[in-house]
Amino acid sequence: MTTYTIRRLLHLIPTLLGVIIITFTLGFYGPGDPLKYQLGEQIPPDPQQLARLRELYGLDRPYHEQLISYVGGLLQGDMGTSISVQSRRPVRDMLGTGLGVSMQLGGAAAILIFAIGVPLGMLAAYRHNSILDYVIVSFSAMLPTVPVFVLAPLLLILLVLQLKVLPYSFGWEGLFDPRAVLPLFILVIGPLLGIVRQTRSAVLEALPQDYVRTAQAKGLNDWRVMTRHILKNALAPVVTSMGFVVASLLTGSLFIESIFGIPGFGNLIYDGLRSFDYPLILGTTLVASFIIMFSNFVVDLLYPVLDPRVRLG
Amino acid sequence: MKKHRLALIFVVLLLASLLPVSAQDNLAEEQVVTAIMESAVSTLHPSAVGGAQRDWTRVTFAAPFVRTPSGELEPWLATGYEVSDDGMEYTITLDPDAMFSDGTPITATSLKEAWEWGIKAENLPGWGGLMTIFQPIVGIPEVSSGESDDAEGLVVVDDHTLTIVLSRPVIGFQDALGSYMTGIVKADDDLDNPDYWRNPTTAGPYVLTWNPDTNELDMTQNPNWWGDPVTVEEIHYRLIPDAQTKLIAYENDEVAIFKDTGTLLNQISESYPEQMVPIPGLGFFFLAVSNNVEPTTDVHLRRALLYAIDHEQVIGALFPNHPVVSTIVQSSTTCYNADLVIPYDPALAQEELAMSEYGSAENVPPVQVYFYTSIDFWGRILTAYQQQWQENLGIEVQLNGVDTYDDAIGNVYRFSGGPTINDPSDILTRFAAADGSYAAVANYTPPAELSAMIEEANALPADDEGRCALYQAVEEQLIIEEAAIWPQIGVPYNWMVKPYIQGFETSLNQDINWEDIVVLAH
Repeated sequence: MTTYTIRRLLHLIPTLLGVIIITFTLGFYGPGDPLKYQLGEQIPPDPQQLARLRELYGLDRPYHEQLISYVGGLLQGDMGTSISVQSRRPVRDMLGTGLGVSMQLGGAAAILIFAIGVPLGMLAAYRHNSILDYVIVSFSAMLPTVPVFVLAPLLLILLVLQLKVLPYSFGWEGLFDPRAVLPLFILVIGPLLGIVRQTRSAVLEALPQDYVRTAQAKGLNDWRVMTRHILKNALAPVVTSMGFVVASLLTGSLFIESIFGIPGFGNLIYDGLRSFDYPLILGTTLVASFIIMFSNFVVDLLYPVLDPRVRLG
Repeated sequence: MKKHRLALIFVVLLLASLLPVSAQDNLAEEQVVTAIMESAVSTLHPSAVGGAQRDWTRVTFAAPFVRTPSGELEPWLATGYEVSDDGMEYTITLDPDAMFSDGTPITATSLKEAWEWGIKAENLPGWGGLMTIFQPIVGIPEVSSGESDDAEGLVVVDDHTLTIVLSRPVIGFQDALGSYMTGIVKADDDLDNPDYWRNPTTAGPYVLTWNPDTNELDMTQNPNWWGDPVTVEEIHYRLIPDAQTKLIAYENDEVAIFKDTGTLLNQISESYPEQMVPIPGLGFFFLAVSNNVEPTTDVHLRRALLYAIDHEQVIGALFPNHPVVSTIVQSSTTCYNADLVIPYDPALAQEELAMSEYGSAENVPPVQVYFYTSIDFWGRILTAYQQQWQENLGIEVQLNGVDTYDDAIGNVYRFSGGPTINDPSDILTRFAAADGSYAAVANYTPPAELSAMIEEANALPADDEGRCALYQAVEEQLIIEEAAIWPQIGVPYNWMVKPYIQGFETSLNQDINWEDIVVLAH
């Protein structure tokens, strides 16, 4: 297990390097010029000013020099400086704050999804073909089809303006502030229903198995059979899905953060892309890749815990 | 007798209650206002601020003058100015009581150093910032390029007097001194340190703190403000990027003021017309046509294309509340020509096509139109035009949505622009002069005759009777004869202001007169 863990951790390094090289190369050779983009449409580029700015941001150097310099900086924790921001903030600082907010929101959403989704899925499977099952399955099919940018304003109008259940429509004052309720709800709703369906399928698949019959024959009640025998086996595919869900939640939601004015990681991705901020795009891509890889790594480590038949190594 | 006295008191009280209650008597206990910033703050230093940041620059980094809604200058950091007879020197007198928020006095040297710092290339935004209005000052280009540290054209006469020497006369240059971009910063401070801007030294009625991590900007009263006392105690700016959420937050009374840049125009026009405050003197969206790329090198073809589209009908149908424009100089700027009409005449368009070197549609190579996809409605407008060009002329037009015009070689480009001063010279020069910036980006070379006309107009004294007529002739030639600039939509920017915010005014700077605002009880 330890050898496997170390080996997997070491595998992260070349994968991350690959991500850096691909992203950097696409940015360098891709269409458009970040500095000319910043100049806007109304002012013809002044070659002298362009040259000075290129020198200032180190963009006048050849590809390999810029790449080596970027990787060297990364090793020292320097992710470069934002070029669209006149105050020239370090990308590392920008990412730190954004990620902190998104991690709170995403972490809470992940816990809720797991805590609500798995029991609901079990219930739907247990009450297979009942009205409860139909309701859960129907909602799980229907709700994710409503796009966030439609659902969010509708809920805002309903809950904030009409029913006045929630006092605020935007902003971020921490996870335990009423402002967090709606974004959290919308963040949870899509993946939650996926987890419900996945748990339901996995439990339904396990129900006719011999070990379940054996457990029932031993006289265990349904609750014990479900939690002690079925769930443990059914959780493996759910945990795999949760890995992806957690990764996407932690890297923020572009739409949700933009709609609710939350200064999270998703907003940074949006800002970087919108303003062609080359170092910010590189930084957000790199961090998002790392989070996805790390989530998969954690999921891999969880498999043998859930199913002793799985051996790592 | 006692009875009569009581009756008299009752009548007096009744009359008193009927008297109008002044705003001062009805003030809210808490003079706190929350407003929306339309995009994340990218910089605070005045020489580089763009769209959103100019809201508060007026009251934190004071410029020599402020602009009134009608465009006049009023004293702010300066008490007045004088112009030399030849129009080459502007001498401004600073308010002797003016001081920074840390209590140090503001002198002519402070202002000179602030501008010299702001004009350096590394402190300017890509679109030019302060350089767009300060280029005519002697020595400024050299300071910007790093060749010199001292702008010779900024001459400190004494502690409170600064003379600005121009390299050429610029009519209306004084308007530049009321621009937010000329606001003062304290050059002695560590301005190059990004963290400095979290809590910078300000000059004006308010001090500010900025948290770039959360995009929160808060202003409180400046104890060292030298002017009349201000009423609003705290101002909070919060970022809501989504337009619909802006309106919901406004309707929910979470915010009292926000700016709409056209996205919500239909909704607010219908629901809250009385709460809309139009921003005056703004620019316009236009299509610019290159005369250096085939087939629009042919002036007859350019005219044919222009006369074949009904821009009033298309824009009116697609965006009912948006102002359709037919001029470069807009109604809020002097010398506006209300009589200028762009003809929609398919028969005339066909005649022009026949007169062109191509003779008929089948000989015309596809016309390439470029537009930024970031402004979504242009795709719809241009698709309608594409259909009209096809129906009225049979000409094939290809639409190219792009992120940047970098390397885009085409015939027609979508741009936006506006005046920086309340005078036609500025904006028309950018189109009609041989080195005009708009002409350059559109790859349009104005004919020598047109450039001569604009030079002649610019050389006339401001009070010359023939000046407006000459500018209008330039404008008409650019639009109708040359068919090089096709004005389309006026920029429909509005402030939304809650009725309990009293005294609100805005100007060409798109700023807010926070110093005059009071919050009524609500």
